[in-house]
Amino acid sequence: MSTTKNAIVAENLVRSFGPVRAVNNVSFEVPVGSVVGFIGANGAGKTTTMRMLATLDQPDSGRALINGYDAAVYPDKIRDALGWMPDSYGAYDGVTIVEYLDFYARALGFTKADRVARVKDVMDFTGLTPLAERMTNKLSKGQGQRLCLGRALIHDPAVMIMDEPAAGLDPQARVELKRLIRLLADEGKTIFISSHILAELSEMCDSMLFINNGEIIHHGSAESLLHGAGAAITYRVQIADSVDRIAAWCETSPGVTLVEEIKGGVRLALDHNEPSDAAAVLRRMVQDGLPVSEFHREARKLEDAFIEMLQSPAAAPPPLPPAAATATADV
Amino acid sequence: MSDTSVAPAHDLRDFPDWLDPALVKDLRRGLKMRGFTATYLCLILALTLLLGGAILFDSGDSVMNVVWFPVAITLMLIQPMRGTNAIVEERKLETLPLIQLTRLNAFRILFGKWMALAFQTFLITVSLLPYMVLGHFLGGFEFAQNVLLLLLLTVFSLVLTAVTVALSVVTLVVVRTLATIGIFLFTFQFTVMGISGSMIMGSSEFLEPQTLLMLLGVSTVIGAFLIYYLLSAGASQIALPGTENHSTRRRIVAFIVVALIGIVGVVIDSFAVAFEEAFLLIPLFFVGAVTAIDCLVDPAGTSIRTARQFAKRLKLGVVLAPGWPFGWAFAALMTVLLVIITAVLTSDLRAGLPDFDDEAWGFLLAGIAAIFVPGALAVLLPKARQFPFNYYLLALVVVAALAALTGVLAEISDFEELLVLNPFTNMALADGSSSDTALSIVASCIHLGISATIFVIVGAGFRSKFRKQLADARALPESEA
Repeated sequence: MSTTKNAIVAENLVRSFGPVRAVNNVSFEVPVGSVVGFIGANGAGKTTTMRMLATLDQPDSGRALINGYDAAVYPDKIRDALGWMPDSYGAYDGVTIVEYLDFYARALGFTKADRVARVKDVMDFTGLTPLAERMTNKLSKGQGQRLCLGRALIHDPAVMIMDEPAAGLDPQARVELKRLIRLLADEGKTIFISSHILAELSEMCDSMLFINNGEIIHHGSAESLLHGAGAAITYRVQIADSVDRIAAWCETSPGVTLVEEIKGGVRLALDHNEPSDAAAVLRRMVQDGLPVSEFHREARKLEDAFIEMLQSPAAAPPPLPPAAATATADV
Repeated sequence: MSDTSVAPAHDLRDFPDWLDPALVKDLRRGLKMRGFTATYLCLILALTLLLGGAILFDSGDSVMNVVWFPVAITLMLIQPMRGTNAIVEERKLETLPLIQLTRLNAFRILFGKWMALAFQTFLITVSLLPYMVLGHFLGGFEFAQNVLLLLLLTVFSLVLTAVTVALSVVTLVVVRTLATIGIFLFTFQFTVMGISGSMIMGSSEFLEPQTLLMLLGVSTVIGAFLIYYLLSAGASQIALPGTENHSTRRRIVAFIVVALIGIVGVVIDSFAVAFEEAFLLIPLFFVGAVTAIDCLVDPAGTSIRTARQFAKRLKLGVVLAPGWPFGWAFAALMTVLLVIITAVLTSDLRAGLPDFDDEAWGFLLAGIAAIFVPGALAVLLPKARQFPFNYYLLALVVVAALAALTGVLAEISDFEELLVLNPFTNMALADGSSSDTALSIVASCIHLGISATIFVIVGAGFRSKFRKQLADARALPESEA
C-alpha cells in the first residue's frame, strides 16, 4: 500500500481496447492537497486513465490507488473518498436541481437532516440556490457544470477527479469554474483535472502531467515546460519590403534560422539567445539594407512548447522500467 | 462552504429515507410526467363509461367482459413497455457511471427502476378494485373471479415489466427492439387477446375461481423469482467491471427454487394429492431454461475483489463464480439436477401425470442442447467473450435459421437423419420412431459434449486468471478488509 502523502498513485497502468493500447505503462503520483492538470490531445488516454482511477474501469495490468487504497480491491472505499466530475451532467426530464442533488445525496447514504443540509451546502457553494426549482434539462452549460460539480461534492470527497470540466463553457462560466476549483483547493482537496487546453490549466494547477499516445511524456509545472531544455526562442521580424528578401537574407546569415514566413515578415530562431546576440542580428539586418519595421522576441506559448515536446523524438520513447517511469511532481 | 442563502424551497422530506433513492427519483419524475397520468386517466374514464353504461342499460356481464380489454392493454402492454427505456435513458444521458459511483449497486439501480413502474401498476390495480365492487353490487358481476383475474394480470404485468427493465440494459438497439417487439406480440397474443377474448366468450374453464387461485399462487411464486432473477441478470450486464458480483447469489437462488420444486413434487407425491402436472413441470423447465441461458451469457471477467469473496467464504463453489467460464458448469449441474427431478416426479408422482416416455426425454435433451449450442458458438468469437449476450442471441437466430435449412435438406433428400445436425431439428426427430428417438438422444449428447469442450477450452484463460486472483486475494493482509 502506498503512503498517504500521495492522494492518487498510478502504477504502470495499462489498458487496451482490442488492438489499441489506450494507456501504456502510465505511472504518476499526485500529492495530497495539490491541483494537478492532466493534458493531452483528444484520444491521448486521459479519460481512460481517469476512469481507472475512479473505479469505472479496470486496468489490464498495473494499479490505481486513491488515498492508499487499490481501486481493484477496495472500490467502495475509493468511491467514498472520490468526487468524479465528467464533462456532462446528464439532465433528466422532470427533475429539478434540488431533486437531482437530493437523489445523489440519498444514493450516497445521507439521511434526514444531514441529507437536506448537504444539498443546501452544495447549492450554496455552487451558487445554484436561486435556481433550486429549475428543471435540470433547462440549464445553460455553465449552470449544468456547476450542478455537476455540486453533485460530485455532495459527500465532501477529499479527492476530485475532473474530466474536461470546462469543455464547451463560455468565458464567464470558465472563470467561475476556475474560481470554484481554486476554492476547493484552498479547502485542501486534491484535484486532478484534465483538459486539452493548456492555458486553461496552467493558471490553476500546481503541476501538470502530459500524456500522448497513452504514455506520460512530461510531469512538472507550466514553467518547467516553457523553459525546458532545448526550448527554441523565436523573433518576429516585419519589413517594409518583399518577404522573399529577408528570407534570402536568413539563408546567408550565420547563426540565424528561418522558422516560417508570415504576413509582412518572418519568424526567426537564433543560435544564441543573449540580448546582445539579438541586437547584433538586428544591427546586421539594418546594415544590409533591410527595411525592418518591427523586431521583437516572442513570448513562448505553452501550446507551442507542448507541440514541440510532442514532436521531439523523446516524446515516443520505448516503455521505461517502472522506477524510471515514475515521475515526481515538480512542486 | 458559504452559508449565505436560503434553504431550498422544495420539501426534500416528501419521500422517506428508507425508500430506494432510484425509486424516489423515478417516482418524482413519473408522477410529474404525462405518460402515466394520461394512461391512468384514460383507463379510469373508459371504465367509468363502460360500467356506467352497463348499470344504466342492465347489460351486465357482457360489458364487464369488454372492460377487461383496456385493463389488459394497460397492465400487460403499456406499463411493461414503459420499462424498455429504463437504462437506455441513463446511458444516453451518461448518468449511469455517476449513479454507479454512489452506494447504489447495479441491482438496486434496476430494482428502483422496476419499483417505480410497479408502484404505478399497483396504483392502477387498487384504483380498479372499486369498479369490481360496484360491478358486483350494481351489475351482478362475479366478484371473486374478476378480482383474481385482476391480481393475476397484475402479477404478469410486474413480471413483464421486469423483463423490459432487464432488457433495457442491452446495448444493441436491434436486439433490444426485436426482443421488445417479441414481448409485445407474445403479450398481445397470449394475454390481452386470450384473457379478454375468454372473458368475452365467457366459456373458458381457465376462468374458474379455483383454477385462477392456483394459477395466481404459482404465478406469484415463480413471478417473484423471475423478477429477482431478471433484474439481477440485468444488473450483471451493467455492473462496473469486477466490482460487483450478482451472479453467485442469483445462481444459489435458482438452485434453491429448482430444489424446492422437486421437494414440493415429492411431498405432493407422498400425500397422493391430485395435482395438475403443468403447475410443477412447466415452472421447473422454465426456471431451468432461464438459469441456463443466463449462466451462458453472464459477462466474463473477475477481479481480485471477487476472488476475495471466494477465498474467504465460497471455497467450495467455483461454479458459482461470475461469468460464463464458470457459469456453463453451473448450468450443466442445474441441468443434471433438473433431469433427476423430472425423472423422480414423472416416475413416482401418482397424480395423473402423463408418461414421460423416451420421446419426451429425447425432446427434453434436444431442447437442452438447443440452449447450450448457441452459447458455445457465441464464445468461439473472440469479440463475444467478455459480453456474450448479444452474440448468444445472434447464434440462436443463426442456429434457428440453419434448422429451417436442415429441415428442407432432409425433406428434399428424404434422409431424415440429417435432422440430428441441428439441435432444433433434432427436437422434431425425437418425436419419431423409437430408432429416431434413440438417434436424437445420442445426437443431443454429442451436441452437449462438443459445447462443453468448447466452454472448457475457450474459458481456460479466464479460469487461470481467476486462480491467480484467488492466490493474490489470499495473500492480502486481513487488516485491509
